[in-house]
Amino acid sequence: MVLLQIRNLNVYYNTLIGKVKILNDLNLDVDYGDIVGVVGESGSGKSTLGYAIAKILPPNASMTGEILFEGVNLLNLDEKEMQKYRGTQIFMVFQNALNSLNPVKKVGFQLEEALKIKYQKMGKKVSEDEIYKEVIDVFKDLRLPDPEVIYERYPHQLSGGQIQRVIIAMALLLRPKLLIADEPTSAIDVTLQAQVVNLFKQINQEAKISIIFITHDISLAYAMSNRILVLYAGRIMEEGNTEEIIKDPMHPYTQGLIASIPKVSKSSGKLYSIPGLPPSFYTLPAGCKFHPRCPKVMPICKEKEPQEVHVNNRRVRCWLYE
Amino acid sequence: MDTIIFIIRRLINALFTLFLLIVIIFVLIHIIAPTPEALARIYASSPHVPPQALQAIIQKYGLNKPLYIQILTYIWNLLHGNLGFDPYYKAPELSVIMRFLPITLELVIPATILAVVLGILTGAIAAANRNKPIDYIVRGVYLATWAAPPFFVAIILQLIIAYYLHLLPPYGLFNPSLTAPKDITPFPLINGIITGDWPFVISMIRHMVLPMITLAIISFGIVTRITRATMIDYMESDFARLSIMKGLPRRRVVYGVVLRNASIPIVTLIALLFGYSVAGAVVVEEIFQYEGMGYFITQAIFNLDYIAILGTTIIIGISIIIANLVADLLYGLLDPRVRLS
Amino acid sequence: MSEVTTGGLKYMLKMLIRDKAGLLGLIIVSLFLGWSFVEGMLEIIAAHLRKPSLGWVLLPYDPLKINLALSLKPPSLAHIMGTNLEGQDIFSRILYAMPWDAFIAVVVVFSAIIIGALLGIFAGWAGGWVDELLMRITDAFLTLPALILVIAISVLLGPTYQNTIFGLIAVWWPTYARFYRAQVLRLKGMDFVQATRLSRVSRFKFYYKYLFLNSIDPIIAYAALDFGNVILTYATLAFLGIGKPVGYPELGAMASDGLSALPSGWWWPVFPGLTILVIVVGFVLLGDRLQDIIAGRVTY
Ligand SMILES: Nc1ncnc2c1ncn2[C@@H]1O[C@H](COP(=O)(O)OP(=O)(O)OP(=O)(O)O)[C@@H](O)[C@H]1O
Ligand SMILES: [Mg+2]
Repeated sequence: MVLLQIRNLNVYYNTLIGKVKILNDLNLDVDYGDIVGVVGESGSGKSTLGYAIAKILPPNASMTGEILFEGVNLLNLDEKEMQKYRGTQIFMVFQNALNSLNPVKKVGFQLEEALKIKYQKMGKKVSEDEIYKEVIDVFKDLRLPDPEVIYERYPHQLSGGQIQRVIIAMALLLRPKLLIADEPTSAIDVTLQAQVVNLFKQINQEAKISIIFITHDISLAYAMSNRILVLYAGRIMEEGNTEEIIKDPMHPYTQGLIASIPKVSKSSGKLYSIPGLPPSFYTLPAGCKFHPRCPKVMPICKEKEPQEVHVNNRRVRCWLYE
Repeated sequence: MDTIIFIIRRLINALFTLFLLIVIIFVLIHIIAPTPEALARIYASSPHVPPQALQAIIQKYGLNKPLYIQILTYIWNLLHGNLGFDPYYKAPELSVIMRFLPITLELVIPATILAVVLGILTGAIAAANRNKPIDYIVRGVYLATWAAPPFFVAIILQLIIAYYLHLLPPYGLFNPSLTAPKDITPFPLINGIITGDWPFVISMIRHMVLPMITLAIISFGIVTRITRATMIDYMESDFARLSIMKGLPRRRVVYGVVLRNASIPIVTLIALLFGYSVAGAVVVEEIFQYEGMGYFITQAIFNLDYIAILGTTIIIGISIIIANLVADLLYGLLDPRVRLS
Repeated sequence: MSEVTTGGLKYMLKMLIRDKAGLLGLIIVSLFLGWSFVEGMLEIIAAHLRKPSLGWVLLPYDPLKINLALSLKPPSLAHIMGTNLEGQDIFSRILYAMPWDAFIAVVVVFSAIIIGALLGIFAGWAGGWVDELLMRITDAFLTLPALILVIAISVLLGPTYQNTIFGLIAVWWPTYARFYRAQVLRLKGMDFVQATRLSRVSRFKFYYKYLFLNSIDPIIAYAALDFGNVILTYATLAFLGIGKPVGYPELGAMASDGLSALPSGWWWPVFPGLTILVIVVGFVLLGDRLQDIIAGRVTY
């Protein structure tokens, strides 16, 4: 069953230098219960994809294509209609969790506000006490220490890990059908990371929330997701089942990403890293956008950009498979 | 408790700034007039003073004493409300200044409030409608008012509103056929209200409007600019995005969450605006013949009245330091990060 | 947005011309400074040769010639900004006065930069109580509006043109001192400067490079705005009768004289005020745009 279908999505940013295309002809299906890992280096357009789905792109952005959410094209909705989808249908946890809470309002207030909007949309009358109890219960579920105290705190009085969990609490309270999590572990230290990852899996299984999990770390995507999408310069390079992609990466870029995962077994020896830097959208190379850094580059790669091809269960954009 | 410590710290800071201000002024004076005789000539506001008179002034003000003694003496006198003797009004300087200061405060305080309100309003509207016609109009207007010399704004308003449209009187403090109510407080407007002298109050307000609007116009631009810039920054902040993501209407995010946060840096501008208005009042009062501090300063410039200039500078310094304290307190009230740390 | 490398005069110029507001600012400022330079040169030469008429060869009329028959004529084709009480052509007087404003702006801003840089770098470098004291002094200066302080200083010195320049410089340096101090502190905080790997010589080179070369861009942008501030403040001082050049008209002073002709002779005070407005708008547009460009806010 398909929850979200993205068809030929293009996203542009208008800049003084001109209009740059960030996401290029992107197609993606997310089923109910899926966790899709979106992987790519910095600047590949991962966050842009998340913003596009929630229609909260910066004001200088524009997009074309279709984003079908349960069959409704979100691109045709105006702000008022879109508002009904935000929160209860689609929710996004941002890359920078530490700045995601309003600094001048108490944490509890901000969660209550989210809940109130939700119940208002559902046309349900719920008392203040019930709302308070619901928030505290979620805090307890998330094992936040002293829930009643945290409730009365301002964001600057919480630690990074606590804020991260407060925002996840918001997601749990809202129970959206689709949760977009943009690097949700970037603000917290490694010991907490595993905990947060488990939490997302738990949300996915217990609350039946589909998740788009954005990360630059392919090993994290492996731990989390059942499908992986590899993004490079705003293009899908490879997409398919997580197990298959990790066992048998087809695109040289995916191969590079996997080769650069630090391995516990091989503690000695130098860590591989993909040579060169990700390209700038203002000076994209001709042909395949990855060719200047590709170890398997062929003459055609420099001239023509490959199309996405379907190989078995997989989509890949590389001349090796045309 | 924290708030009290916060206030005390700010107060000590403010007093130290005032102290430094006095030291700076004295050092500057001594660079300009290194000998007691030269100093005495400045005190006498005239280069041609008979030697005996010079000696008298030197004795009277202790001008032959070392600099730090003079500074300490001045501060000692200041603490006792003694700013010297005004040679033109033949009265203690403080009492002369206190005659003019309330009139200017009655003008400048409402002007500052008006400027803040006007600035926040226009800045918020511009930010909410970024790159739309209304944004360009607001930016054009604030650019023009910012770049306009105060006298230009005053003259244009006086010409159009007073001389062509006859909506308000072009100059003066109040209708000269009326008499001011007796001094209960130093503020004539408040005296009028207390005594219930409504014709006087109305006349005074009608005379106040033009200079007040002028002062607001010349200073609100900076508030507009900072409100707009801060709000635009905050609109792309993650917390604004998350508020939209929760399902809050964008309008409520802009005028609630974003504006509320943007108001924090804006309150720090209050003191700056107050300073602008006080400086602007010097010119504006001259044009509208509004007999407050500005008018008094203009006179002192004309007379090269050194004691008056020094006294007004320090009184203005004190007023601005008080405005700074008010701004600091508001800042603490608005920002939990300051209040609770 | 990191794609766009910022910096360099050429780059700034290129970005400026792309933007309508920035271009307008650049045009106004260039016209003002260009005219002031040419006319200023003529006035200097004229003063040297004791042939004042040389000073107004480029102007439509002799700006100083009194002709009571032409007293207070409204704007017309012959006198586009009208005439004053003495029958002098206001447009000619405005053009004649401009170099004096340009000169004061340039001298005050450049002196402020130099004094501010020296004091700021010294404070940041010395640290400790020296730094604390200097910052307190800048605080004290910045507490009072520049106008009030300059009035106080100029009145003490005697309100001549030169003394007003001194007064303006005396209150104008603190902003720059703060800028340079912050710059030094940032550099001192960098790991590789703290590490002793850097020899004395290369450390000096490093400071030179970062304090001098790297601060040029932000200083230019800020100074562009500041020229406008100085011109505004000076015009206001002149309006109050402080710092008028002897024997030459001044924009603020013209407006002040013109007050007596209100309301019928409105053009007399209005046009000099309007001229200042246009000049300052030019500087603000230019400075604002430059700051955007340097801050990397050019992408949209
Ligand atoms: N508002 C904007 N205007 C112009 N360009 C933008 C804007 N926002 C992002 N970009 C550019 O678009 C590209 C994609 O940005 P995006 O934030 O989606 O990347 P990302 O994959 O999330 O990177 P990261 O891992 O660093 O978060 C980048 O090159 C970025 O510089
Ligand atoms: Mg991102």
